[in-house]
Amino acid sequence: MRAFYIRWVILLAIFGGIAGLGGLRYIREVKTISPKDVMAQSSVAGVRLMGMIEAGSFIKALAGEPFRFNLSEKGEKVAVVFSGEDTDSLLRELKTIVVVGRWDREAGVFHASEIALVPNYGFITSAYVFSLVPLGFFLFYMERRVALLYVMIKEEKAYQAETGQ
Amino acid sequence: MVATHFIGKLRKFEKWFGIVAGVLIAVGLYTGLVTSSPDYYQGEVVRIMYIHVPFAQTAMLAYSSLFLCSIWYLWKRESVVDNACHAAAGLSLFFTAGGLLTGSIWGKPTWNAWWVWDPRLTSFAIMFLTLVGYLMLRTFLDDKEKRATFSAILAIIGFIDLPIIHFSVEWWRSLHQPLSVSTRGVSIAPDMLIPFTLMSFGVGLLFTYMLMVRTQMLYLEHLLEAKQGRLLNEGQG
Amino acid sequence: MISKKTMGIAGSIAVVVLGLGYLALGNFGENLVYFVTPSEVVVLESDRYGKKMRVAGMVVESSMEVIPETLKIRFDLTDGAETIPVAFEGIPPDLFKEGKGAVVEGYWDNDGIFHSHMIMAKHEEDYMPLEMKKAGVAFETKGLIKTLKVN
Repeated sequence: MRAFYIRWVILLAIFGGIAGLGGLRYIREVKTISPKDVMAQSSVAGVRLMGMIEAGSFIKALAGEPFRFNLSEKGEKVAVVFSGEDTDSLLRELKTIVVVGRWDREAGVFHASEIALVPNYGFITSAYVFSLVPLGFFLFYMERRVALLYVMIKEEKAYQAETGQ
Repeated sequence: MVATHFIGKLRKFEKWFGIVAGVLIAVGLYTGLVTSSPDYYQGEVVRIMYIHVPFAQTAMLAYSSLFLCSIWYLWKRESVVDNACHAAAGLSLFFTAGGLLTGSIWGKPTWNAWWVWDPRLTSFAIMFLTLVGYLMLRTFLDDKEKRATFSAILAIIGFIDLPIIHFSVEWWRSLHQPLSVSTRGVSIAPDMLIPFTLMSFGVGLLFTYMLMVRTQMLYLEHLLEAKQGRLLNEGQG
Repeated sequence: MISKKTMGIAGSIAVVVLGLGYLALGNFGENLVYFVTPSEVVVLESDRYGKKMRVAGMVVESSMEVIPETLKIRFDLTDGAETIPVAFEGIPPDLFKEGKGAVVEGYWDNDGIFHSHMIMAKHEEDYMPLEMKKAGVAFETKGLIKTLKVN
């Protein structure tokens, strides 16, 4: 039985490690900050800012002109200039989006180079947790039951395993 | 004795299935959650597909093994084969529930609905009901022979649902997307095909391993009960 | 006398038979029409006006019009043959985009507009990273319009 528990500890360590790497990736590439936090920072590049496009602030880009809008969250708002194309029709009023780009503190403007959907990591995490955790428990109790049954059977002398013969 | 020989074989080979499944799932999860790119349309949510698709496929694999096992039982009438059928049904129910649950969690951010009465989802829910019915039937029938025969017949009838599940998205109008791997070719980019493939084979092999373990469990439980004299009357039947 | 056991056996068989019977007898695929198409909406009898239904189609490119400072959106939905205008009020899902599939829930009325409060996004069977999509890669798929129709 000792080998059985050691095996499960190793398994847990491996899968915990993978979950940790997934978490690191999330913090590095997916996690966003709010308008309030970005304004508290000095000028930085590579920021992922999340907020809702404020009603009435959206100016549709004319040919060659960038899009301009305010991203707001809890009353705090940041002016955003986006010079790319809105290929996925993400830009509309009252929609919550993520913009990636550079915060210019002096001008008080966020220069966005990319716009993206809000990452739904809550759904992803729950899908994996609700499927893999029950799977783990199911397997653990099943294996343990079999190991115990072999011990009990041996004591009862009802069955002689064929392995090792 | 055939049964002890069969169980001995399972015990001998199970670990290889378990090890390969574990490695495939570990690498599959690493590529799926850490290194692969988000999808152009659904974004990060595509990562749910790397668990949902393998679970749904494995649920169908599990039902198929229940089907084959039921035919095998009706042919050979070995009680250890009935144990394997019982094990396959339990696991099939587990993976079906997992497929429905992960699909539902994917549907909310993608479709904007947890559940729709679409042909694919409905036929999958019918497989779930069939398995619940199968396991209920087993608990209500006390006679060993009758239980094995009736439940095998029920499982074989229920198999009609499987081709319907598979082709529902091709035959009828559906909200669920059609097959990504079909006669049209493969419509998944290599970057995403890697976690899909690893997880599909990994979970499929894990099911095979679990089936081997659970068959032993049910066989041994039965053996122990018989030994302890609780099933003496049935043992003569 | 019906024992508890017999009831259980009958009950469990009934569960399976009902499920499978639904598949076999109900012309499952055709009866289970989760949504109709714009072609079917434009020929509706007037007694179906104002009744709740779902319509699926492709959101026509550059047809989406956001009415400023409201939650109202207007767009056209097509199945390749017919196109209907949709007036929507609410928050559309993230994946609701022009040129993509959508299922709208609401009612069709005398004014020739489909009024909706709920949109579901249809997903297609291709998966690829954004970089590949931008590079112009396209996989062979069934085609959105085809997936929305009965054969």
